[in-house]
Amino acid sequence: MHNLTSQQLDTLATELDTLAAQTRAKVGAEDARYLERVLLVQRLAVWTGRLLLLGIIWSPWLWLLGVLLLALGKILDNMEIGHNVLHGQYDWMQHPYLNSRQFEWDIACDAKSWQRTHNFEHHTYTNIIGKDRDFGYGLLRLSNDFRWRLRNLWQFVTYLLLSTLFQWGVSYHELAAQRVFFGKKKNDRHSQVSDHELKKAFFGKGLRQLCKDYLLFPLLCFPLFFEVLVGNLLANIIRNWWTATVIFCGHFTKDVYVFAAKDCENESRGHWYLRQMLGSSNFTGPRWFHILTGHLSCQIEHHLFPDLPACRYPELAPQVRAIAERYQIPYNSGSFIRQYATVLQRILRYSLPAGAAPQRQM
Amino acid sequence: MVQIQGKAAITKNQAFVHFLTKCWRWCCKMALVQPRLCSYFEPLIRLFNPGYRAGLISAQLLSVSQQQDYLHLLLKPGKKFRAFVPGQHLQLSVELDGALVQRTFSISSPLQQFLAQGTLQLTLKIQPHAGLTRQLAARAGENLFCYVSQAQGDFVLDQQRSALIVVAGSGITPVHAMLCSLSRLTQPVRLIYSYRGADNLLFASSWPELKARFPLLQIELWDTSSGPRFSAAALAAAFAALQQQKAAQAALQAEPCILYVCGPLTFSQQWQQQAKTLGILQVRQESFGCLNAADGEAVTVTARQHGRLVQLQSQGNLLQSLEQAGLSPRYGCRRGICMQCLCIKTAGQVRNELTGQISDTGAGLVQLCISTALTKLELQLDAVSTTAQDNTSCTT
Ligand code: FES
Repeated sequence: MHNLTSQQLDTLATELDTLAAQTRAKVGAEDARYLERVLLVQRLAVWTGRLLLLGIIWSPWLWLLGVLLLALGKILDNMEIGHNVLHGQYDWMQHPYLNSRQFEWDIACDAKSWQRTHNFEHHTYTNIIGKDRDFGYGLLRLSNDFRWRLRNLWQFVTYLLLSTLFQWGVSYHELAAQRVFFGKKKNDRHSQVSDHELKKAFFGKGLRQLCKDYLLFPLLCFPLFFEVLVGNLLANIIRNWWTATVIFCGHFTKDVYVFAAKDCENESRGHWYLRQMLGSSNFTGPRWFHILTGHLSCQIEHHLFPDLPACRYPELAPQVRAIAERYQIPYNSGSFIRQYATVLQRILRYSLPAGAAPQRQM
Repeated sequence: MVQIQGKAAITKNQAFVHFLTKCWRWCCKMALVQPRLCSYFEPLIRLFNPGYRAGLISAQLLSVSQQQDYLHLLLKPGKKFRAFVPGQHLQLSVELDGALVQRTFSISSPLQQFLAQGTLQLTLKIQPHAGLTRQLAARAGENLFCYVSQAQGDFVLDQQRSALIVVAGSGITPVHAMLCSLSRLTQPVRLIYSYRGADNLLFASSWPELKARFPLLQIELWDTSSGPRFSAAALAAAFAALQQQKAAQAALQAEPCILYVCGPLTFSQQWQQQAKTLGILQVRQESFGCLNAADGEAVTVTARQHGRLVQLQSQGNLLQSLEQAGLSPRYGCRRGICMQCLCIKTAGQVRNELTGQISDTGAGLVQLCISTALTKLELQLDAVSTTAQDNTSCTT
C-alpha cells in the first residue's frame, strides 16, 4: 500500500518542503506575539494558582482552584512553551533566552538531556523498533517486535505508574538508555556526553525541582506548609498525566506504523517524511485544547515540521491531509477519546504474548 | 604594603559579591526555572512597557534621516548605557517582525553630544541585500524597538601621537566621532577620505569647521566618482607631508606616527600592506562588510570551543569542516531536525542548505549540520556538556 517509488517519495518531499517554505515565509510578528501571550497567561496562572493555595484558610475550593491553575501553568510551560521553544521553533526571534540553547522548563528533566533523546533520537528515528526508545519507553511492550516477558503481564499497572511519575520517567530516560546505573553498556550506542555529566544534570535539575515544589514554596507559606506541599504535588501529578496522555495519543494509537531499522538505512528525505506521517497520529478538539497539548494534537504536522512554530500546525493540517490523500498515505486522526481508547487497547493487547493482531508495519 | 592590602580587600569584597550573585542566580534558577528574575517577569513588564527586554539596553529611536546611500539614526539609549570612547562601535538590535536583528555599527556623533543630550548618532550604509539597513530605510517613521550594547572596540585616537587616517565610504563614521570630540590637537593629523559622488560625502559641514578649529589637522577629500582613486603613491605623498609637518614642529618628539585605516574589508587589507612598505609600524584598523566567496570556494572560519581558538578553511558543510579540523561540535541527527548542532555565529553569512535561506551578517544562531559558510565566519561552539548554559547569548 505504501510502496511509493523513490521518485514519488522525492516529489512528496518537494511538496512538503514547499509547504514548509510557504509557512516559514509567513512566520513573524504574529507568532512572536502569540508566544508572548502564552507566556503571560502561564505566569499569571502559576502565580494566581500559588496564591489561591493559601485560600484554603477560607475554603478548600479556593485551594482546589489554585491546584488547577498551577497545573495549567505547568502544562503551558511544558507543552506550548517548553516543548516548542526547545525544538527551536522560535529561534528565529533571536530572543536572549526563548531559544533552544538557553531555555529551561518547569519539569524534572534537564532540557539538554531531553533534547538529545527527544529532538534527536525520537524525531530522527521515529517508531523505528530498537532505535526510537520513546516507543514504549523500554517499559511497555507495544508491538510484537518485542519479545514478551513476564513483566508485560502487568504492564497496564506500569503504564499507570509511568503516567503518574511521568516527569521522572522523562528525566531518567537518557540515563536508562546509557545504562548509567544499571545494566550492561550497549556497544552500538554512541554518546557525546559522559555518564558523569548525565548524572550531574539529572541530580542537579531534579534536586532544584524538588526544592522548589516541596521545600521553598511550602516554607514560604509556613503555617500552611503541608497544604501547599500537597497542592504542588497534585499539580505535578495532573501535569504528568496530561503530558503522558497527550504523548501516548500521538504515537501509540492503534493505527500507527512501526518500522524496521534496516528499512530506514540511508533513507531519503521523502522516506523520512513518509515515516513521520505513518508513525504519528492526530486528535481533534477546540482551539484551547490544541494549546493545552502544545499543538501535539497535530502530531503529524509536528513530526513533519518540528521547527515551525506550533501555532501554525492547525492551518497546515488540511494541506498536509490533502497531500497525504493524493499519495494514498493514511492520515491517522480522530477524536481524543477514540484515540485514547485505542492507546489503552494497545497497552492491554500486547501485555499478552498470544492473541495480538499483527501490527502495521511498513 | 598598604596598597597590597587594599587590593586584597577589594578582591575579597568582589569575591563576596560574586558569591552572592551566584547564590541569587541559583535561587532564581530553582524558584523560577530562569537564571534571572527580570527575564522571568519580562512578559508581564512588557504589558506596561512594550519595548522592555530583560538584559538588553533599550534605546529610543528619535529620528531616521536618509542621505543618498546612507542613513543617520539618532538614538537615545537607556540609563544603563555607559559612555563611550570616540571611535568605538556598538551592536544595534532592532525588533523587526518579531525577530531581534543585530548588526554592529560605529558611533558617528561626538562624545559631547552624548554627555549633553544623552543621544548618539549611528551612520550606516544602506546595503542592497542586507535586511536590517534596508528595512530601517523603508520603515523610517515607524515606531521600532531598538536596543544597544555597551560600546566596545579599540579603534580610538591616540592623542599623543601624530596620525595618518585613511578611510573610505562609511569608514568615516568612527573618525568623525573621534575628530569632533577633540578639544585640542597637539599633534599633526592628516585625514584622507574617499567617497563616491558629492551626495555621498558624509558630514560635509563638519570638515571646514574642523579645519578652522584645528590648524594641525589636514583633510584631503577624494571624490572617486569624478577624480582618481586614492593610490599607493598618494599615500606615500601624504605620509611624507605628515613627516614634514612633524619636522616643522621641531618641539615635538620624534615618535613614529600611527596609521588608522577604516573601510570595507578589501580596502583595509590593501592599505595595511601599503603601510608595511612605507615602514609605518603601528596600524589600527577597523573594517566591515564581508567578502562573498565564489560558489564552492573555501572561506576562513574562526571557531572558539572550550576557550580554544581554531581557524580553518571551510568548504561545503560546516559541521564536517569543523570536525575535520579536529573540533568536536555537538551534533545529533546531522540533517537539520534536532537542533543539537545549533551554535552562535558572531559574524558572517551562512546558507541554510535545506531552505536555501541566507543569513544576516550579524550575530545569530546557526545549525551547523545544514549550513555552508558564504563569507568569513566567526563561531562560538558550545561545550559538549549537559550542564545548564550560563546566560550568555547572542544578543547581549
Ligand atoms: S545535528 Fe540535528 S539539527 Fe544539526
